[in-house]
Amino acid sequence: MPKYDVLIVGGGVAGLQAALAAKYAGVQVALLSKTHPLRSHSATSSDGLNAAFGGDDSWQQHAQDTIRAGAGLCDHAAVEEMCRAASDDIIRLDHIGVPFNRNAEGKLDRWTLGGHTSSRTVFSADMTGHAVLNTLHEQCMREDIPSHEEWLATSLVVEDGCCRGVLALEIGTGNLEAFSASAVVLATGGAGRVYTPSTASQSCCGDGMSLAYRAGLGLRDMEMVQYHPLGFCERAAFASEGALGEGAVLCNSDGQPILQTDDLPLRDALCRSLASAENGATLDFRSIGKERIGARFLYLERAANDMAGVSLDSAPLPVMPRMHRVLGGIQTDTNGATAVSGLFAAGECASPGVHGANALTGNALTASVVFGRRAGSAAAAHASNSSPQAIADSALPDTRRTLEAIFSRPTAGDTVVTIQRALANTMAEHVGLVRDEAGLQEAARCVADLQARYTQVGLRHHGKMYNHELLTFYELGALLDVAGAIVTAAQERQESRGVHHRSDFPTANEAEEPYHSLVTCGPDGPSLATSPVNAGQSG
Amino acid sequence: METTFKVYRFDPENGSKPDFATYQVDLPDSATVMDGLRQIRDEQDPSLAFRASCERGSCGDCALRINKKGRLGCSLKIAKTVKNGVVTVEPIRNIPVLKDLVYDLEGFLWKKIKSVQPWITPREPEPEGEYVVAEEQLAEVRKAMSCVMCGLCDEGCAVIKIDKDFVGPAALTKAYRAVFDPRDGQHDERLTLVSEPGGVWDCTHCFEANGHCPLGLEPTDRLFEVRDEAIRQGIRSGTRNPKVQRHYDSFLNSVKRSGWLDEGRLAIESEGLTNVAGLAKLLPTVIRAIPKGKAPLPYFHHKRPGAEAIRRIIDKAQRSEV
Repeated sequence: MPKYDVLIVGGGVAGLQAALAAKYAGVQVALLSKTHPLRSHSATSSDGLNAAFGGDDSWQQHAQDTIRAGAGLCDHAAVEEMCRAASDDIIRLDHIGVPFNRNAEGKLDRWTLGGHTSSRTVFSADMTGHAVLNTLHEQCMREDIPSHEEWLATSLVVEDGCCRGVLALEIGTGNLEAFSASAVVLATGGAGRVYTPSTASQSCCGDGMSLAYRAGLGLRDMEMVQYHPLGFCERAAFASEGALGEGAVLCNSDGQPILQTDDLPLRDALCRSLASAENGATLDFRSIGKERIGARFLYLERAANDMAGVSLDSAPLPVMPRMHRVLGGIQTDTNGATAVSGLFAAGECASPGVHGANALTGNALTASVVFGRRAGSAAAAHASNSSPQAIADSALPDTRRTLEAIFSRPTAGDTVVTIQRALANTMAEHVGLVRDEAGLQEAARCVADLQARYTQVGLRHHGKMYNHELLTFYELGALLDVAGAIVTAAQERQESRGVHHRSDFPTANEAEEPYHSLVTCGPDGPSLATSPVNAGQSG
Repeated sequence: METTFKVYRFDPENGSKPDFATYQVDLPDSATVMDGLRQIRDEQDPSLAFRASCERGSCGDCALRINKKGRLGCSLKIAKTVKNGVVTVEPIRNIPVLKDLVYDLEGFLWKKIKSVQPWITPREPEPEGEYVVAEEQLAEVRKAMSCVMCGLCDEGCAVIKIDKDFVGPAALTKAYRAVFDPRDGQHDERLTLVSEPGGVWDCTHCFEANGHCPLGLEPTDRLFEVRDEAIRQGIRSGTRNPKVQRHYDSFLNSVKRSGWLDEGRLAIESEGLTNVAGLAKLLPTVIRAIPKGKAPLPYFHHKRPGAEAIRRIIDKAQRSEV
């Protein structure tokens, strides 16, 4: 049984930051991830990292912008922590090799994104996530951090209220293994595949959210689902919103501009306006010029050509809103700590409270960098004060028996793929950009029905090696948990706030104090509670 | 669009030999090869194994050999590659296949990337803020770093095909990223590292890597630039390998003396004049070469016309190095 002081589950930006922080703290740390770290969804993050670097900007101003965007649901202590720390974290990333774009003075260049009152987003062309991921991975190689790749964590081992490690399935062999650790950091990424169309990678299945949910933890603000306005029409790719600040023009189907670039709106407003536009929209780069396109849109230039057949310097790119990310996640404090001792979470699977009801563009990657580091440090500190406990011998045989039972189910009727498609279509149709009670009721009914069908679904392929159907089975279980939480929270929130827009309740409920939704796994399905928003500053 | 997919199948679990299976798919014109594979797996044969992650050419996970060319499956439309209604999909070459289209990148790519130590050590003195660096310097680093580690340049490499120890163009493009990053404090150490046998000097200039890179990053050119930088910095190949050093010294001294290569002298001096065991290993070759007139007497190498001019050029170059 592999034993570590700290086990990081997930190899994206938050996971690698956590791993490095734990390593620097001097504990024995390892990574466990479903894909090779460089195949993580972080590689697709294109907007950049936000921080105030002085001049006419300040971390307080960044915090104010974040809180304004969050529409009353930001945890102010978490926002403060992120906005204070972001500049130091970004400088550190610069020192270890992220090739951030430079201005004429050779200093960090910045672009302007919607909702920001200052140009504070540093970027590495439109591949910031890719560049940060690669740089952190280089440092993990340097530190010789053990990495278990193509392993899926199937459950958390929690005994006496303490996390003891995880059980995991090796995708390549079908072997099950218990990984014992004094502290576990979940950094498994988002759950974008709960919708279609979305910008999600294949791996974004809410794995960590589900692990925590099944371990009794609450998922916070799950109804807050953000769309990206500049998605490709037929692929998961999207253009960086940095394009709008750089002078790309958003046009209607007649080629008429539909956005003033000197007053960029927040994503939710832009998405709703684009979704209601007849005959779609285009993003026109022609005024930017080929050289600048090449320097700042390295990825998009290639992707538009390969996947949309568009040469950006000669034709506009058709775009449409695509579901982008669930803003909520596993409830944590600003150290990534959860209510289970020894269990931490960071990155897109976590909710430290910075996004509230609408994430400011660029804050998601920033939060992964800042809170990934903090979670790794806190996990290391926790591990230093405790010793790994062996996982009970019964844990693995129990899981093997469960697996055998799944393999022995009859295979007539549903497949995991048909259920997954039905789920993603249901969510897009009824729990999308604009919601109402009837649609949410229908979604709740569908998700419950799909949950019931999931408990009966059989697997047609029984091989052990790279059994994708088995992997999908586990991922679908997680997606159903996430969908249940989203629908439950969206039904309860009878107001419009941030990205949660209800046509039957079109304004925010100002009569009541803003609240967080918190969905836990009850005996009869998702159970909803609310908690007040921490609108005070940290000490 | 109806298309026939011929897909490489290999499942070590059932003991069968590798073979191709044929599937019919019907997809819109905009569909990619990856869409086709997914339709096969989701609707026809759930046992089919392949890797795919980002679905947009950002992560390099889906590198495959499609109609005999290395491509990213998620970025290649069926309509662009289909020939006579058929798309043939195989794993990339020169690599152990684990199952169907899934192959083992550990030894082929990841270990080699780590071997060039492509991590930045902040150059001293480390500034309080960001490093002040010209955009032009970082632009090329950024471009090299946009590599998605798909391994297709290594797949096309003519050297790796016969020498698995060559670190290859992917790892050396990663090395380029560190060598040319002005913020790095280990510039010369890394150049020394990649100048060792198996590194930049083992490339044979076939330019296949350039032709195989789906992102147009020109890995061969990057590798050449690392070589040029090593020369500029006076870093010689094989500084950690005395035999390689002797080989270089002998080569140079031979050309400097006679204007061309004294092969006999090179063989002896490379092994080392006091290395009896090494010299003994040469004997069978010498014995085979003598009857064929291919074993010229070492050190009695006559000068070629213009040898004096060549010597002067070398002298001048050596003076400028100093």
